[in-house]
Amino acid sequence: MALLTRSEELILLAIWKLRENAYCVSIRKMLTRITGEKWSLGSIYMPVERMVKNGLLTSYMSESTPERGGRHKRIYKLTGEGEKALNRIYSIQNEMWSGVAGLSLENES
Amino acid sequence: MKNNHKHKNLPKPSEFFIKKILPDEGWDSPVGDFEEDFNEIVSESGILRAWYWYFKQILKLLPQKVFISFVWSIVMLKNYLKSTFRNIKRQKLFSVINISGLAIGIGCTILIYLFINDELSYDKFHKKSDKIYRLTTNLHNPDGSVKSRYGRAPLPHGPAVNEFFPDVISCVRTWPLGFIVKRENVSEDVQVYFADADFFKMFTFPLLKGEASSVLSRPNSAVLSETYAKKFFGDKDPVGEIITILADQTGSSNDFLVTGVFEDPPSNSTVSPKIVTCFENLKLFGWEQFFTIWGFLPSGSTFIEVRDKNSEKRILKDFHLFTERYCAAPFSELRKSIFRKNKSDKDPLSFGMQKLTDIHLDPEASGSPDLTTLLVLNGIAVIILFIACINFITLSIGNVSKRFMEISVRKVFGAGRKQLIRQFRSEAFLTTALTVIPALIIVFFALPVFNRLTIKSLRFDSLLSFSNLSVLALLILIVGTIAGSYPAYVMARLKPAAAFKGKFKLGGKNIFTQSLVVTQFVLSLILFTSAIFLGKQINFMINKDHGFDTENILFIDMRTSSIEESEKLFNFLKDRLENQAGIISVSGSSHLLPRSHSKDRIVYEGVTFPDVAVTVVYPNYLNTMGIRVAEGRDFSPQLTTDKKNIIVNETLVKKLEIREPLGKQIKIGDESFTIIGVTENFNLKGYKYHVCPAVFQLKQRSEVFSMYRLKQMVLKISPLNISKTMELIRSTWKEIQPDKPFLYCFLDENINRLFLEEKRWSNIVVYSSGLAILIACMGVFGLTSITVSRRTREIGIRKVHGASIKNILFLLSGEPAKWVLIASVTAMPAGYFIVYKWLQNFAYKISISINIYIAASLIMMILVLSTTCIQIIKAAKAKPVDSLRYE
Repeated sequence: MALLTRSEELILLAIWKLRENAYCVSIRKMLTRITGEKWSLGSIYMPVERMVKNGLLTSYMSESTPERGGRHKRIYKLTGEGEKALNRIYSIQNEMWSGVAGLSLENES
Repeated sequence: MKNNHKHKNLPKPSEFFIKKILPDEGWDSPVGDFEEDFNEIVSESGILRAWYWYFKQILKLLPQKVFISFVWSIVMLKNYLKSTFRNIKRQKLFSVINISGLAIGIGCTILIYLFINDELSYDKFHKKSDKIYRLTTNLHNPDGSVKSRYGRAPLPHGPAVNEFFPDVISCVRTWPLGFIVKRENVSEDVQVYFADADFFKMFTFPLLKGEASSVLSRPNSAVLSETYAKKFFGDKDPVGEIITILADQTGSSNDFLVTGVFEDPPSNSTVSPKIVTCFENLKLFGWEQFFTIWGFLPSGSTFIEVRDKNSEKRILKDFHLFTERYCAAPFSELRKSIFRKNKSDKDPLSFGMQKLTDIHLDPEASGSPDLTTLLVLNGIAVIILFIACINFITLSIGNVSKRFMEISVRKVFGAGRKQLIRQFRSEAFLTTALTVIPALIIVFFALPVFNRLTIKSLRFDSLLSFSNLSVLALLILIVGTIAGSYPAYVMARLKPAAAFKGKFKLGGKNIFTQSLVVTQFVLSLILFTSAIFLGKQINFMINKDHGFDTENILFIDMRTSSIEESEKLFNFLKDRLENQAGIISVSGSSHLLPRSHSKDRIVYEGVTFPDVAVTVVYPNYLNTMGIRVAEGRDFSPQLTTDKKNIIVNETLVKKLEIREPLGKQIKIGDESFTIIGVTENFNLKGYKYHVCPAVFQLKQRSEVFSMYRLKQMVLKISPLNISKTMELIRSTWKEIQPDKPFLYCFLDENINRLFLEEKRWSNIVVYSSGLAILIACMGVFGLTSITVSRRTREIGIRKVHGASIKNILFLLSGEPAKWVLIASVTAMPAGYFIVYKWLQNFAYKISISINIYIAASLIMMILVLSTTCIQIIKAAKAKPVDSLRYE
């Protein structure tokens, strides 16, 4: 299976952190807050839909809430595949990052 | 949400919009997301910002959506195309009926569209067409009301308007007059346009030779149209050459220098000059006195060019100032002559203006159809098209059973109602679009005939312009919608389960289909009966006793010589011809009967009667023309005292309420005349109009007005050996007058020309009603074949049980017979009303007899029954074994 892209990785992490509240708007807000960059709704929808198709995510409809004007939310949840993929990317990253501690120090100074 | 900002739903229309854009299912949560974002932007930077964002998002989405739906519609279209073609191939009969009916309908519509387009295009080709106006004149009654309107103006009016109003840039007076134009040995009877110098600057008649600003600057210059330049000069350059115009009135001739040649005016031009010369040249021909008279309306129009669009308003606002300044003196003069005995301080005339482009369809412009005519033509096209559409509808519905399986299979595979409707609609569009090709072929071949019928010169290639093609596309769209909507609705409603089980009933007792068929018959019957009445009325007018002979009466134009010369010529010719074989009698007159009439005044017992036709004649005139004398006697050539006598017609006697008219005195001008005879009525202008009161008077010693000069010689010739007699007259003329053209016409040709317009009309209606009936019958043919094929089994069983062919015939033809019956009952009052309205245009009319309606209905019945019977007999003759075996 192909490695996750950076945006997929970030979205998956956000979904995992948001738990029951992981729908597109909240995902986008979280990513915007942490990265400081602008994320459009489309840039969430597309990878999310792709990952649903690949079995990394599932979704269900939440109850409608009055603050959304009675509209349903589509809540996303990680599947086992999704968790596995995250773990895999985490271990790859760890391995890649080990031994380059000096790099970040130099950059900071 | 952090703040108290209330949640806002997106407005309904935009919700609808998003739903359209998004895939069919699961639009709810994205819309929710979208709304949440929207609300956040509202709370952060205000509602305006949010809307801006919202529309940007949608705009970004659109191209993709459009592209996707386009791709899909092409995919589906391919499929629809395939099924359309398969159906056309599988059901040849219906396809032929549908396509040919629609093709004829669309062909007719295209023809009539071309006709109307041409009528509406009049004078629009002038570059300044929106700035050119014609000056008009109203003649008033003593009480101030308008008596009559004229598209002409007194000669001093135009220059005065040009001088007074700053908005008027230039003024061109025109006056077309008939003259004989000669060059060496070529002579032509042609209308010469006398026009002011700016003529070629105002109107767009491109000059092939010469400059627009200078061709008419010299007084004796003349400009020829391309055709006439060819006629007079062949291939030679005419500029600098001389042509001679022979004056009709005085017999004098004047030479003109050709200064230019212009392109022939297009057929859609109101002003269509052949030879143009300076307006001042009218003085050479004795019209000088009219240049300053306000009480005389020339037969030509005065045109002005204005500065811009608002000029008309400004000019009309200041018109009373103009009248006060220029017309005070002339009007007080005119009051005496126009109002006569009635003392009135009202203005005798008032002036107005009319757009050049409005002139052609003005009902007062002679010889051109008015707007009503165009509307009626349009109506006929719509009726034919509608009948063809009805065919399409009824046949498609009747034919549903054959498409049953296809519809069911489509439904089972998930086609929704909407999709089916779309399919059948696009099928109707495709079929209509297909018919355009045969329709264009029909137009191509019918155009020459149509041109002859309507006296037009429409061209096929004019159809290929962008605007005309887009109108054609629109036509397809409309016809496709009308023809396709109802069948699509019916087919989409079918239940697939019922279809598979074969439980299906539709068509036979369908009220809607039946009423459509009846409508078809009603429309064709109305057209048909109208055509019959039109023809009858025209025949009636042509064949009704005119009160004079129409056969074998010959007119010879005497206007080629001056008044005195023509007198001499007349007497000379008369002596030579009178006793020749083949010539029965000879006379002459000032007016060509029955066309001309003059609005003369006569005074009887102190009362003035206007609108009397005074004709100056030579002895023997009544006899030559075959006008019958009811009382008294004809003029005698021997009695010189007859110059003081007149002959009147019965209408005049009746109108003036003269008792015992013989011997009564009537004043014409200042002279008194005695009535010596009363003629039976004869019609001067054809039976469209009432008989005009008429007076005949003998030639006086000197005629002040050339209007009453001798204009033509009248000969009654024997019907035997006409060509020999004509040769005799021609050779005698050539012998006496070798250099003057021999111009003649027969009276019956003239009378036929009077009814040209009506004949044109009846031709159009006859042809279109024929087409309508043809299309309707084709529809019936198709419908019957559907019924018959559906009832094959029934026919078989009936035959087995002993029914004869006759029984079956009666059974199956009952329904169409019923339709025709209902239709004829409905068509009668409607047709009666239309014909009644039309006949109001005529002073003498035929009575509308019910028999014609009955006859028309019978013919319709026979036509319909014979089309149906052919098929029924075929089915009834088939062996019942064959029709029952497929069970």
